[in-house]
Amino acid sequence: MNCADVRENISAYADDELNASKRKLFEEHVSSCPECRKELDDMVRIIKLCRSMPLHDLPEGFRDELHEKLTAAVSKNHGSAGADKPKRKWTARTFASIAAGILLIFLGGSIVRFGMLSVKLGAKSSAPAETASAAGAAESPAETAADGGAGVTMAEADDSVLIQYGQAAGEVRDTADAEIKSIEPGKFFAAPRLTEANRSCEDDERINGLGLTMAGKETISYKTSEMYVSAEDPASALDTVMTLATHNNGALYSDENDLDGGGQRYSQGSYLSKQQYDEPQAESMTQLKLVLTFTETDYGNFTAAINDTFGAANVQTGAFVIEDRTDELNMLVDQANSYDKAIRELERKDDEGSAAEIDKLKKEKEDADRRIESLRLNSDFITVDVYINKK
Amino acid sequence: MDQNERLLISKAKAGDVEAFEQLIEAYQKKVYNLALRMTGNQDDAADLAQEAFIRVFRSISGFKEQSSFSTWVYRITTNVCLDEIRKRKNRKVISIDEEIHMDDGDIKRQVISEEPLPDELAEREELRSIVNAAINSLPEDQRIVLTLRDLNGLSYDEIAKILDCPGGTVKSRINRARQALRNVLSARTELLIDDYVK
Repeated sequence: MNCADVRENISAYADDELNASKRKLFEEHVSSCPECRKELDDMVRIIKLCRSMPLHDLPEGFRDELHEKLTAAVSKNHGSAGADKPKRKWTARTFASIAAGILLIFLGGSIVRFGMLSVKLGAKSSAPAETASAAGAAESPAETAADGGAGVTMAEADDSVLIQYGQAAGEVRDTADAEIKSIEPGKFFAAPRLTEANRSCEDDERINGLGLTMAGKETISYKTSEMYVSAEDPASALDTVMTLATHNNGALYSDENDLDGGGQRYSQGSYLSKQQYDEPQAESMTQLKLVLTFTETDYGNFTAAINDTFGAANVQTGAFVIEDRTDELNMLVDQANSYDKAIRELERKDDEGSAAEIDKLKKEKEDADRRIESLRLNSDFITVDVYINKK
Repeated sequence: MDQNERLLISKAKAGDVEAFEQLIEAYQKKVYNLALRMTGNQDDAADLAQEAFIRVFRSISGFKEQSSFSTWVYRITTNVCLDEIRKRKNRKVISIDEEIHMDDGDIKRQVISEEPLPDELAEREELRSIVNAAINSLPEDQRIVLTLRDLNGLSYDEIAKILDCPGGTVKSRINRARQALRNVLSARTELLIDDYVK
């Protein structure tokens, strides 16, 4: 070991984190090098200083406040799922964004990927330039809406398509499998399961005089999009994208099964999820990819910031895809309610033998509630796959 | 993981708030202090520590008990803290003791205690303020490893698991953090004299 090696290992030595052979080499050097010995002495003092720092007491009321929050979390989880107020407020802007997205799917015919589900629509577009004009239109769905362009987009979208994906997440489908339906004004956003009788007129919302109505009952959909950025140095571009995302309240996506506190990908020094990604049409080209989530407004701002930073020519925004999950939600709510009912019945009986059964039902109910919560949460956000290519 | 902890975890998984509170009792102060180090102010630290515990509670049913509970709690806490720090990257971080601020490189006390402390106590208080300020001046990736090591007393291996990074990264960050501290503190050479370190 030379002096540089010793300085590198000095903390690890003081913390007793060196293995026996390194430790021996370290000690050999230090015993014969007064300068390194001085370094070591200083370091030991610094460590003692740091360890002598006292822990601060918990602030007054900390435990009570936490107790309240925990109790609230429990009651929310066990509350009647069906009675919860829908989290999503459908606004004119939402509609416009959706309309713009749908139109884009139709025009762009670009490759649409999201999550585990991959759907290809229309002709495969390999050249970014082909969809550049479409991307221009999509560069900020929110903006399109804000200036009232929504009505026009929607009106012209008569022959647009609504894509509904089945529940089989993880399944890869191709064009032939994707169920494509024509828009039927008035029914477009209604949850497929709802009957006319379930719709309440006062809950219906009229949008831009288009005569589109939607049921007041909760509608759940997953919204996904893609963004392609070209840059000379993809790694530093990734940092920039991440910074812009952070500024616009974006977060790295973590799926519902990733329960380790969510977004553990933050924890790396560079907090990036870099994935080697083989682009199908390019010769095994390496891309950097990250998956971000935003609210709609924030996504609009984020795309605008990305365009400003990288230049519109280097940015391509993919289609805005909506995956209707209302059926799944309704099914889960029904399930949760039936568990509730069964639990209540068993509890009324007060039969000793039914305790295990109640426990089991409660667990299943909790599971359903969790999935409902996850669906609602995801419905509030747009998930965007960002791909960064080397220019 | 001991038997009692296992039992509490399974109760907490079933939604038992009291069991959960017992389970986290040993971590509350440490998690709060970690958040305090990371945010630099007490209100934010309390909010973040609570958020971390709520997140732990919400996701405990998915805790697979392959890692230790403490590693998992700290991992969630560091994620919550780093998340918050990134959100407000541009906002100025306030010094941990709030009565200390950095001004032209000097550290001054804004609030002077009405009753003067005995000399020795006062010196120790001053020393702590200086060390606090020095630690707070470190970049967040160094601050977090140093806190997990010296304040929470965790091993390099545990820290690597919490931060989901290689052990070598932990080692070099801790070393860099301490070198930086030494550079800041060596301006006040008397601090590095044995008598001051107790």
